Amino acid sequence: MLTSLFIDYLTISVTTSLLILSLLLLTPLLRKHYTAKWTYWIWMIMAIRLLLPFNLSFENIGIKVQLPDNSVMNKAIQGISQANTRVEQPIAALPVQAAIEPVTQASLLFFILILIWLIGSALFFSYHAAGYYSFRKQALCWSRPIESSQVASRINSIMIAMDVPSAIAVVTSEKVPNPMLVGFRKPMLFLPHEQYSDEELEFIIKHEIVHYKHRDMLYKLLLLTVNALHWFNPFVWLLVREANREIELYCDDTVVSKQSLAYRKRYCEAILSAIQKPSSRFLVLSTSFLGGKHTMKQRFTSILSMKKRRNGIPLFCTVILILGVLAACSTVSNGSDAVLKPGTIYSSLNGKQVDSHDVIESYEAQKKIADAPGATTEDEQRLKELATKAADLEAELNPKSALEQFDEAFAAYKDMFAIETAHYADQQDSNDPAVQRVLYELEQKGKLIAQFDEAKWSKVENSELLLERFNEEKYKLNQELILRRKSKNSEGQS
Amino acid sequence: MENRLKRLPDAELEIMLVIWRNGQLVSSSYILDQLRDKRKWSLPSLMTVLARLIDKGFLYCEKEGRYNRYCSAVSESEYKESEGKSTLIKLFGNSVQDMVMSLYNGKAINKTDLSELRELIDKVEKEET
Repeated sequence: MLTSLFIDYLTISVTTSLLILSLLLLTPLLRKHYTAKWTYWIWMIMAIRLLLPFNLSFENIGIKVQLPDNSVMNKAIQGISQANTRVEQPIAALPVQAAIEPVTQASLLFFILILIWLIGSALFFSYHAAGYYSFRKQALCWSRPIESSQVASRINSIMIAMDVPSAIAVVTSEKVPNPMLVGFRKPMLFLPHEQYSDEELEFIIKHEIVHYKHRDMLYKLLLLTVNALHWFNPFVWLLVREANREIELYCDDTVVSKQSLAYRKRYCEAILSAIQKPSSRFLVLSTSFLGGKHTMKQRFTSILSMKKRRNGIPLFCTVILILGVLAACSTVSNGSDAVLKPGTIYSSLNGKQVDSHDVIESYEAQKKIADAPGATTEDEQRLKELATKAADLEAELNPKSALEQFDEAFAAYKDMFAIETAHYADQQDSNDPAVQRVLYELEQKGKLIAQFDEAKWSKVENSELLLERFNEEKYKLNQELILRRKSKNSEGQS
Repeated sequence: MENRLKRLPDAELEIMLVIWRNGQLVSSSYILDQLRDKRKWSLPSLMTVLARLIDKGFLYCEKEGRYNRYCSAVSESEYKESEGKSTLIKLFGNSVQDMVMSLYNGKAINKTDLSELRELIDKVEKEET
C-alpha cells in the first residue's frame, strides 16, 4: 500500500518536474504576454496534480484527450520495457544466490527510502505548523484593537466599499513585521502599528482583502502540503516559490486592474513607504534571504506596466492538454510497472524503471514538440519513427519463428491427446460404439503425432514447411473423423 | 535584578499586558474584568499568579487601604527587548512567510534595495512626461 503510494508520488514527481521546468523556462515569456491570473491557475493545477497520488483520467471528466498514435506508443513503450526485462532477467537469474540477496537488500533499501520520505514530510510539516502556531499565538497575545477611531472608521469604510464588511478583524500587534493576513478559516489582519497615512492604509487593506477574496490562504496551504509531500524534489520547491510570487502578482493585478498609471504609481509608492516605516524595533529578524528585492522589482514592474496582456485561454488549454498527455503517460508507466512486477524491487536497483521513465520522457518531449503550435510535420514524423523503432526493437528481441509457432501448436495438440488418452485408458475393452469411436479417433491422432515427432527430430524439413504441413494434416484428419462420425451415425440410425 | 528577564508563560503575560496598558496602579478586580474575554480566572487563582509575578520581580504591590494595588516593576519595552531576542519567531521566521499573506517580505529588503525600487517608480514617471 505504502510502497505503491510512494512509487506513485515518485512517478508524479518525476513526470511533473519536466513540466515545471519547461514552464519555468517559459515564465519570462508568459509574464510578458499573459496576465498573472493564468499562470496563477496553471501553478495551482500543477500543485493539485502533485497532490493526487492517482492518475488523472480526463475521460472521466468528459474531456477526451486526443492521442492519435497512443496505442502505438503504448505498445512501443511497453515493448521496450518488456525488452528490458527480457534482456536483464537472464543476468539477474543466473547466479541464484546472488539474485536472492539483492532482493532482500533492495527491499530493505526500499523500506528505508519510504521511511526517509515519510519522516521528511512529517518534519517539514511540523516545522511549518509549529512556526505558524507559535507565531500566531505571539501575534495574538500582543495584539490590541485599533486605538484611533479615525483609522478604525477609515478601515471600515474601505471594507464596506470592497463588499466584505466585518469579515476580517483588524488589530495591531507589535509582533508582526509587516501588515499581514493570518488565519485560514477566520483570518485576521495584523498591522504592526497604526501610523499609516490614509493612502497607505487604503492600499494595505485593499491588498489584503483581495488576498482574502482570492482565498489565497488555501492556495498557500495547498502549496505547503505539496511541498511537504515532494520535499525531495527541487523542482517542486521552485514551483512553490514561483506560485507564491504569482499569488502576489495576481493580487496586485486585481488591485490595480482598470486603473490609471497614476493610481498604479500611488499603489507602488504606498507599498514603498509602508516598507520604510519602522516597525517595532523589538522584532529581531536575523535571517534574511536574497530575492526580496527581486520579487519587489518584479511586482512593481508588473503593477506599473500598462500594456494590455492577453487572457491566457489558449495557454491554459495547452497546459491542460500537456497534463492530459502526462496523465496518459503515467498510466502507461503504470502498465509497464505491472509487466515488471515479478522484479519490481530489484528492477529499481537495476534502473529498469528509470529506463521506462526515460522512454516516457523522451516520448513526452517529442510529443510536446509535436503539440506545439509551430510543430512541423517533420516533428510528427520523428514521433512516429520513434514508435516504429520501438516496435521493431521489440520484434527483434522476441522473434517468434515458425519453429516456435509449430512447437506451440504441436505441444497443445499433444497435451489434448494425452488428456483424452488418459481418460479412456481403462475403457479399452468397452463395447459402447461411442467409446469405440473415440478410441479409433485417438489412434489416428496418435499416428499423426508420431509422424510429426519424427519429422521434428529428424529435422529434414524446413521449419516453416513443418508448421504448414502440421496444420494441413491436422485439418485433414479432423475432416476425416467428422465424416466418419457422420457416416457412423447414419449407420446406427438405419 | 538580572540582566535577562525570564520569558513569561502566556497566562502571566496576559496579566502583565493588562497592567502595562493601563499604565497606573490596578486592582485585581480590574485585571479580572479586563481578562474576561480571554480566560476565565477565579479570584484565588489570579491572586496566586499575581503573587508569582511579584516573586519573579515583574510586579510590586502597594497597599491602599483594604485593597492591594499592583504596578509593573518591568516596563513593557524592557520585556519586549529581552523577549525579542529569545523568541521562537527567530527560529521559525522563514516558515511563517509561507503561511500568511503579507504585504511584502519586509526582512528581505534593505536600504539599497529601497532606493532601487524608488528609481524604478521614478523612471516610469520620466517616461510618462
